[in-house]
Amino acid sequence: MARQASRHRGPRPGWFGRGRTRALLSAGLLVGVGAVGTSAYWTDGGTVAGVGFSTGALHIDLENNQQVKPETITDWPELSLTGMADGDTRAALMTVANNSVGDAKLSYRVQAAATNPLGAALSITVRRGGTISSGACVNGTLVGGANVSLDGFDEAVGAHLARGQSHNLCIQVRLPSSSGVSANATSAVTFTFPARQEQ
Amino acid sequence: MSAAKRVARETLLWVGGVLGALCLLSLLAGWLFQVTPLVFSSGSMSPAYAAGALGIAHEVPASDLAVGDVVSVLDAQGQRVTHRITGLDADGGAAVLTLRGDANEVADAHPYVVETADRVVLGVPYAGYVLNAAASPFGLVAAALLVLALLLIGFGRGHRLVPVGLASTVALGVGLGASGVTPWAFTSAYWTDTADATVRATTPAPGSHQQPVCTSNEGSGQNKAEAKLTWTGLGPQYEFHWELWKGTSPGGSLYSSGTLNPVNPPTSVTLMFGIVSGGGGNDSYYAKVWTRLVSDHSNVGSPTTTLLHSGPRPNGPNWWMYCGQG
Repeated sequence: MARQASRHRGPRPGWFGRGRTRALLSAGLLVGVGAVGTSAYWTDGGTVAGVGFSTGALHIDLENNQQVKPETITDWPELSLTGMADGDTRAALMTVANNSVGDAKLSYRVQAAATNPLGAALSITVRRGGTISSGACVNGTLVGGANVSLDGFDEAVGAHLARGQSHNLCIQVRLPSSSGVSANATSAVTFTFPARQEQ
Repeated sequence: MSAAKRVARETLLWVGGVLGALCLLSLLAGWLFQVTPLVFSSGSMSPAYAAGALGIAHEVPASDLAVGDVVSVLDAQGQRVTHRITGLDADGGAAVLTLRGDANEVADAHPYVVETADRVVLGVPYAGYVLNAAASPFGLVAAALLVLALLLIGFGRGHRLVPVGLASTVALGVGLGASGVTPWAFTSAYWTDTADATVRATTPAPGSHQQPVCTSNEGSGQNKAEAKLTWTGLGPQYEFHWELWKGTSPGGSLYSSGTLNPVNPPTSVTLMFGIVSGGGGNDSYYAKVWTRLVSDHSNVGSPTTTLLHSGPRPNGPNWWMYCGQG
């Protein structure tokens, strides 16, 4: 029957016959696609369904910067930490913006590091959406703890930033009383804002 | 049957058969060889694996991993991430991986501890779009219609196996998908970016203590310390050294000296001078006080000088120490 069919329908591998095998094999397409589709909806509670493919670039920017890479604000002018005596508190507002290309949502963290014994003594308070009152950060949402050690600070800022959105972070730095830090001490303080794309 | 119809029939059967065979083979390969097709939903691994690419990953133990491999792992939130290994620390049977997307300038914030990882061995550009489209409701309906058409073509209208076969195929696919054994995954090759700001922090230049305030206090009895010098403490890193000189500043002879422990502001440091035995008479004294660093007992700045004098106690036979020149 296969040879007869091949005579009628032109040259092709005889073992595919009238097409029943291929028709049966094609059912595998439905098995595969069905399985893939079902698992996409099933296992991820719909979050993956119709997943968007995002192309572009992620940009987290500070202050008024626009898509700067690599981005470092050296000697951030808003925050002065010079001449800090024991018990001094300084605060400043940092604008963190998502200026990504393409529809990329991002989450980010606030990390802080500081060198030398002065850096080890400094404490930090970060408030998302906070404001400055009497030289200290008030209101908004506390990120991490209040007056915790600055060096090694590493906290996720709870809210995501959609493209075009920005946060005002109030950053407060304090040298505790009785810090024991000697005069003329210096410390290089770095605030880092690592961001990652979120679906 | 016309030539055009025959060509169309053959084409459909071939396309359907090949696609179906590929699907079945990929399912089989996934189960037999731990191969997982990965759909890249974002572009931090471009250009090697752009958004929409389909990567073929093979599960390997941590000991087989090396820096430079592209691996797919689950992050702390259970989200699948596919990035390149830039740092690797073997830790027994596990490995601590530092990953970074090729298009990212910074590594992922946290390392991943894995015992096995899906290493990406092959990438097919744009195939992820096809898989994603196929898995959409529209794609499923299209696949179902195609298979129905092919079954009808292959077996002929009215064949009683056609509807049964179609229904069981759909049931099988849905069952496999729902059971979670389907070896495939969407992976986020998420982008990262970072920005930082630096600030220089300093403490004030070393300050020595202020000029002491001297108060003369008359007590009762002999040899009471009655000239009291006070000044504000400078914190735990500063101690104070004092000397009492008999004579007129800057001359005279050293009478006594000592060191005072650090005092935290705003508490005051107190230093009291009285007459010791044999120290009577109308005489000039002066007290010098230095601020010193506790760390190495070195002097900070210049000493302060406070003039004192001894004189007769009013209404009494004894001699006392008073503030001032006398």
